Amino acid sequence: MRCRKIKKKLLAFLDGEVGEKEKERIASHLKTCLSCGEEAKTLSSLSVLLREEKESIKASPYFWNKLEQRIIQAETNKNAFDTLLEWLNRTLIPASATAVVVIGLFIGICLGGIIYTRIAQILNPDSSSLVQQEMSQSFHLSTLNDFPQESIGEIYIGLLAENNLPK
Amino acid sequence: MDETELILKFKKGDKFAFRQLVEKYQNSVINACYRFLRNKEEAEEVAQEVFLKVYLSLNTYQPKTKFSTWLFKIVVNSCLNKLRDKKKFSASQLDEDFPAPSEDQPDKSLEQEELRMLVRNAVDSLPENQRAVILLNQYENFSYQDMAKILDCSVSAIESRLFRAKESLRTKLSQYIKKDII
Repeated sequence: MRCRKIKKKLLAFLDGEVGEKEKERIASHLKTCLSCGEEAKTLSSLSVLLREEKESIKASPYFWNKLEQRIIQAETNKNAFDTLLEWLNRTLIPASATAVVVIGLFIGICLGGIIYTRIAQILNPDSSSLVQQEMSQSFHLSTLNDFPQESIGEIYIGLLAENNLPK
Repeated sequence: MDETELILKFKKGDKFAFRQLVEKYQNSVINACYRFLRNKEEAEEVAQEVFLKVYLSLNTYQPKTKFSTWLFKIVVNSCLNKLRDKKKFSASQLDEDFPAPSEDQPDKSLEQEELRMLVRNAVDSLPENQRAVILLNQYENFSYQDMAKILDCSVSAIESRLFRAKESLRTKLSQYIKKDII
């Protein structure tokens, strides 16, 4: 194994982060290579130096008490927020949904009327009051008048009369 | 009682189990925060925030990840956020603080406390991501895989950061490294 590759893996080797086979290869190389051996010693010494700095502090005697207070405060805030959220779920959201549906229906009806009028005007430019005529005929008593002469409806009624069948 | 049992008890509503969990890890967390922040009051403050976050999210913790890994992810993120808020560190500080070693016996002329200060300054002067790997590797003894989970990166990224960090530290502390340790 070349020194360049070994040096790249030295840290992991010293930290025990290489597999068994690689560990053996590196260990074997370090025994014979002065340069890599020196490098390994330097890195180990650096680790020792870093660990010597390890200053330790302890938690204050009131650490748990302070933490407990913060937990209680956080739970109180969370409960208030949960209550607000529940109220919103029960009232505001259904009301908003209903309003959206009603507005949507209204818009739909208006748009439908507009589109129908436009199409009618395109197909029959002279019938500016076509919609009104259609509407009046749909709800007018003229539907109770006799069928026009020579219409299919009149012929049908005639046949029924000849055969004494109810109209 | 091990932490898995404590967590299970907590999830069933046993709040005393959470206290036991805190007592198990509080010194470790405070010291880790101290190494990032270098201020005891701030370290304790951030440690409290860490445990509060743990309390509020422990019900979502999945045992497939080691608890210490999950905990220290919160520790590192909280400390880095605090550092960024404060913009505490400037990398140029170290060079000014380094005393020139005496020519005769460079390593023996410094007292132990001064050496520790130098080492501390050298570590503190590293960029955030390199400092984090040094603190987790040297002082918390996390494996590379655990560090990768804590820092949300790959194992090769951890190796790369460690390599650069140690190269930097070696340069700054070269006069104080004893090569006859092994």
